[in-house]
Amino acid sequence: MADDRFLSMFIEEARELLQALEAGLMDLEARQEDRAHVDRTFRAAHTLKGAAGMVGQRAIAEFTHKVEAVLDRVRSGRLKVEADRITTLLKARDHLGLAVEAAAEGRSLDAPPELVARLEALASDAPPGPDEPPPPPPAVEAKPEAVPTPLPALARKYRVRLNPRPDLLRKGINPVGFFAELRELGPITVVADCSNVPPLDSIQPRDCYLSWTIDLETAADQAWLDEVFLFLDDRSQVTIEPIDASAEAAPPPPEAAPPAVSESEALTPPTPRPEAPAAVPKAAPPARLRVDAEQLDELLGLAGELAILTDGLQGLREVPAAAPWTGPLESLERLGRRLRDLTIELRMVPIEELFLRFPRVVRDLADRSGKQIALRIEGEDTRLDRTIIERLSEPLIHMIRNAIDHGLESPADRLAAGKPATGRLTIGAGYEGDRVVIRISDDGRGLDRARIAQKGVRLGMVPPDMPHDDPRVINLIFEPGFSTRDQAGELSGRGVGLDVVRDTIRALRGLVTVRSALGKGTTFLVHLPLTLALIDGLLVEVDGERYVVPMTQVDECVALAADDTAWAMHRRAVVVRGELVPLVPLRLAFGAPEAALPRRELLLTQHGEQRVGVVVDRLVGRAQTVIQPLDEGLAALRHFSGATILGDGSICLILDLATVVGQAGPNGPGTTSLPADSNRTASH
Amino acid sequence: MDTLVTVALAGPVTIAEAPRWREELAAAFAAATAVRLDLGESGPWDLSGLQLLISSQAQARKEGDTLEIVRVPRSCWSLAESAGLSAALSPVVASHLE
Repeated sequence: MADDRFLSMFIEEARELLQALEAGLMDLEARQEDRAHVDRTFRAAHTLKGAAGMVGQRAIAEFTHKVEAVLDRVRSGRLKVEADRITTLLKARDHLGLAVEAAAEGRSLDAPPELVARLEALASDAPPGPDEPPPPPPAVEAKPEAVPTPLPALARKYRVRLNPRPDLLRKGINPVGFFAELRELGPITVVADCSNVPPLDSIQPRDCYLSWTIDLETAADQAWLDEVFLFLDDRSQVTIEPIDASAEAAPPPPEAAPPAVSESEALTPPTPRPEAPAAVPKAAPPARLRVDAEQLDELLGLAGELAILTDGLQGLREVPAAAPWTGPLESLERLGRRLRDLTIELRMVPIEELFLRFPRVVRDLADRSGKQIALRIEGEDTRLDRTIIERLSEPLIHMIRNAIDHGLESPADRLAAGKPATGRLTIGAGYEGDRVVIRISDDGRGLDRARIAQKGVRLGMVPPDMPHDDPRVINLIFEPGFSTRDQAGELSGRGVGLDVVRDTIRALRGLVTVRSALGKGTTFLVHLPLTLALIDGLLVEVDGERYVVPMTQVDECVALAADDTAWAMHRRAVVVRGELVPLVPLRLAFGAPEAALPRRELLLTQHGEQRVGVVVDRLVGRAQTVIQPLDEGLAALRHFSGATILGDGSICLILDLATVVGQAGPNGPGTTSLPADSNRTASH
Repeated sequence: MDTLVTVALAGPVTIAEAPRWREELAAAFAAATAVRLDLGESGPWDLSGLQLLISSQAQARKEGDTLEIVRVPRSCWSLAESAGLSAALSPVVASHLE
């Protein structure tokens, strides 16, 4: 049994392979003639099987073998891909997902017998169903048109050079298997180059240091040979060259010739490997490393602190005696910022990692709801902070579910409304300034504002005279417990969810908005910061202490004179441009004494459907800083979302206005939460 | 004076066991100037295992030690032939298992 380290490496790799398998399966029906796509999908299953076998996960390997066998029939054109077969394969992929997670916990999971039977039936040579094409003639002739045509009449000679990636064996790929496949095409001579195998005291025993030269005589053309090495990824080099008569007459020069292993060579010092000829090598992409996410966060924290410290040193430029160090100071500042920016960049990953999950979600929901849906995904290469992407999955899936359950109509309803039977669902991402916007858009029935307003009035959430086009009406859908559906839908509509979506997005310092046109469709827009690592904030002061308030939480700042506040319904409030705004004085929230200040500052923030003013003593300025998470011991400080180090080296807490206002609430310390129908014209 | 150490490899010599066998073999070379590997009870084998034998050759060459491999199982040798490694190993193989 493999040790824990190899098991965890397997689990990580298996998750990626399962994602690739799912992505491949989702497109398989439409792209079954696309040989490269079918091969990629097949390769995901094949690699998973090998990797599972390597770490002793026999059940996973055996089950994956069954999936592989089905895909092999698809590859060879013997099995047509249809929706129900894709469903079976997706179920198999789901089982593998569960089995891998069970393996991560040290458990094993038996495959459902009916699923095994279905896979075996698909993989068998049993007579095809009525829709299945007749089996093609065997082997060579059976290949689809993308597959090369063999040339039986003329024997050709090829020289194959295989220079595998170091982790080839760890990936469960056995080069001897390639040789066996080549041997099926014709007689071969295999010569291994051992010159790069290090002595025992420096070898990594699970790495592969060997490379090979194989001479083959076959009637097949080169494309058949390419097929053999299908499972090698781009980090392994394979070159296949025909050896014509002239090449044979004039053997390659010594420096290009692969060293044949002979007694003398096996015992002589290592010689450099021959360079791979430029013929048809697979391009080697840049090497990549897996990095522990926590270490990356720690590195970012250090880089941020370095940038801040160097900022602090800039004051030395004003000191005449420090003039000789001006140049080095500037370089230090530049390097510190560059290091911080690069480290932030390391945290960014393409949103494709998230979007890859959605085709499957949409397919399953479409099946369950009986709706026809064309999904379009855009902007997958938009890059976003890894932490944000990890936390976005649930809220986005909820919005997708909402769009399918509430937004898109049934095919019959759509046809009756003069729309195509198939509804459109678009999930896209893109940049908007220094933020990322994710869009989930459907061309369904749209939100009925009148119905929402009616329900809002009934629940006491909005006044009866509120116009339906007031943004507060449509935003009611984000309120806890709000749903216009009398009966909960199977997929959503239980009044639980969109408030959680909004809260999750807010916690990511983002914003979710909705636009809708009745009968035409609905679009959810999620605005997010590019990264959670940096914060653009306002530096404020309360009772002599400084705090950072995220800029995204502040709509505007308003000066507040000492006599500006009013009392409305026994609570403090202020009128801002005719709007009565409840107040949350931070001094009171923090238990600090009142102070007779001639002027204070009001930070206006949106809380639900209401604007609330948070009162601070003064505004100090703007600050762009690196966020440090609060230690577990400080988790009880619920007003704060993190801490940061300011340019002068002092530590400053980051205020979370949503929590401050939420905690103050209707019964909070001196704060207000005006009922929605309170007198909006109250004067002071 | 030459010291001979015989290492008997028993059981699988595959990628899963390769780190453990590397330790054993390295320890043998550290302790002796002549190392004999008895493969009579070994198997199954894979490329990682064969690569360790090649690495042992490199170690012997580096240290100026001698290496001898005895009682090579058929399955091991068959794999070496398939992988194009038999020519490299032949000089140090003294005997095969029938």
